[in-house]
Amino acid sequence: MANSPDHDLQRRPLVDIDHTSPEYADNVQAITRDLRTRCPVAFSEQHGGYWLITDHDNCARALRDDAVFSSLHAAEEIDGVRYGGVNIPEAPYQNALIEMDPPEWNVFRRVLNPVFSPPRVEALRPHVAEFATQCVDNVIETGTIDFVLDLANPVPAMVTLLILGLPVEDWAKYAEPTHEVVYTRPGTLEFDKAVAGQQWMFQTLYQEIVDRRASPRDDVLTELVTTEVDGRTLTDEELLSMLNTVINGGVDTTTSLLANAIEHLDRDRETRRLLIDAPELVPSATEEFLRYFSPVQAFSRTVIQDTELGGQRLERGDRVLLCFASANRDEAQFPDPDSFVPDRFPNRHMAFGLGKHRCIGSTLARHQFAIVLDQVLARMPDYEIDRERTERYPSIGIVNGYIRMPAGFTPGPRSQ
Amino acid sequence: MNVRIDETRCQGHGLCNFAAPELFRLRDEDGHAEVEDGTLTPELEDAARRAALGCPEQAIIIEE
Repeated sequence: MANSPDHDLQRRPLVDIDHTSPEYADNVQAITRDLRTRCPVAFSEQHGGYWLITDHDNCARALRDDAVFSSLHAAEEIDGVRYGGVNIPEAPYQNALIEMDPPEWNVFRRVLNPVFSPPRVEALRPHVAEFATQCVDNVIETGTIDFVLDLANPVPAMVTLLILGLPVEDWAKYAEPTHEVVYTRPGTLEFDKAVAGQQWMFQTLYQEIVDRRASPRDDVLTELVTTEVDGRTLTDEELLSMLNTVINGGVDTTTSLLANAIEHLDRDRETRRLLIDAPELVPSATEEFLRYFSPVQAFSRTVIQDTELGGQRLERGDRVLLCFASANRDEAQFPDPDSFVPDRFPNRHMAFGLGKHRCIGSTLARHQFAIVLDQVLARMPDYEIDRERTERYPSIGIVNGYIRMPAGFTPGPRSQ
Repeated sequence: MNVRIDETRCQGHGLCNFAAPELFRLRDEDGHAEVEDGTLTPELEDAARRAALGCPEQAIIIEE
C-alpha cells in the first residue's frame, strides 16, 4: 500500500454505520437512501473497516468483476491479504461455491449445476405443491397460522432436504440453526446456540456422506459424492461445505421472501385482491417482491487489486459490502423505487446477485414462492396478521427475515 | 432482424425463458439461455425486445 493508513483514512468518506445493528435493521431504507444520494461508496470503521456500496451501478460492477472483487474466504492470509469471504463479519468457516473464485469456483459450480437444472427444477414442482398443501392442511381447520413457523419455514426446508436425499421429517433440525445463525449476532449466547445446532447438522451430514460412499443410492447426495470434475471427486470437507451452502441458500432466503410478501399483502390489500383476481400477475409481482425486500440484503467482497469505484480509491485488502437491498431501490434504475408496483417492468433487480455468482437456486425459489403464495391466497384469502406478536429478525446484516408471524383467517376444509 | 445471446454475459437467470419460451430455451446442464433460430418474425419482435429489456445481465442482443 502506497499511502500511510492515516492518510487514507482522512480521504475516505467516513460514515458511522454498522449494517448488523438493530438501528440499521429498523431504518435500513432511510439510511441507505441517504448514503445512495450523498455518497454511494462510503467507509465505515466498524468490523475492522469496510466500504458500503449502495448504488446499483457500482454494486453491479463489483459483482461482475471477480478479478478485482474476490469472494474467497481463506483461513490464512494470502500474500498479505486477508480474504474474508462474502459476509461481514466473516462466517466461522468457508461456504463452498459462494466463497470461492474461479477457477476453483468452476469445479464446484459444475458439480452442483445438474442438481438445479431446468428439468430437475420442473420435476420438483409437484413436491413443492404437496408440501405447501400439507402445511396449510395442518392449520386450515383452526383458523390460525404462524406464517413463518407453519409455512414459510417448513416448505423450503422440506424441499431442500428432498433435493439432497435427506429425511424430510428432520426439516426443523436443519432449519432452526440455519435461521438463527443469520439473525443472531456473533458473541451472543443465542449465536452460540445456533452454532451448536449447526454442529449437529454437520455431524449428521458427515455421516450421510460416509454412508453414500459405502452404499450409493439413487439420490443427489450420492451424485455429489461421486461426480468427477477435472479428474477428481470432492473431499468430505468440500462436500460438507457445499451441503452447508445449499442448505443456507435453500432454507433461509425463500422463507424470508415469503414472510415479507405475506406481511406486505396484509397492509396492501389492493395488491392482495389484484393477485387473487389476476394470478397471471404473480410472476411479475414475484420480481417486485424480490426487488422490494431483497431477502439477502448484502454480500461482501475483498478488493484484490487497487481500483477506483464511484470516485473513491479502493486498495488491495479493503473489504466492500455490496448492499443489494439499497441497489434495488436505486432511483436511477427503478423509477419511484419505494412504491411496490406489481407489474413493474423492466425490473432488473439484483436480489439473486449478478454475474457468475448468481444464485443457483433462483428458478426453484421463484416456483416455490409462487406455489406457496397461491396456497395462501386461495385458501386463506382474508388472513389478518397479529402485528403485536409478529417479530422481525433483530439483525438484517445478512438476511431480511421474520422469526414469527401469527395470523388469523376464516377456517376452511383440508384438501387431503 | 435477429436475436442472439451474448454468452459472456448470460448467467442463467432464466427470465427470458419465462417471458418468451418460444424464443429462448435453457440449457439442461447449466440453465444458460439458448436461441435456436434467431430470426425474428414480426410477431416475435415484441417478445424479443421485452426479454432483452428485462434481462438482468443485458445479455440479449437484437440486431436490426
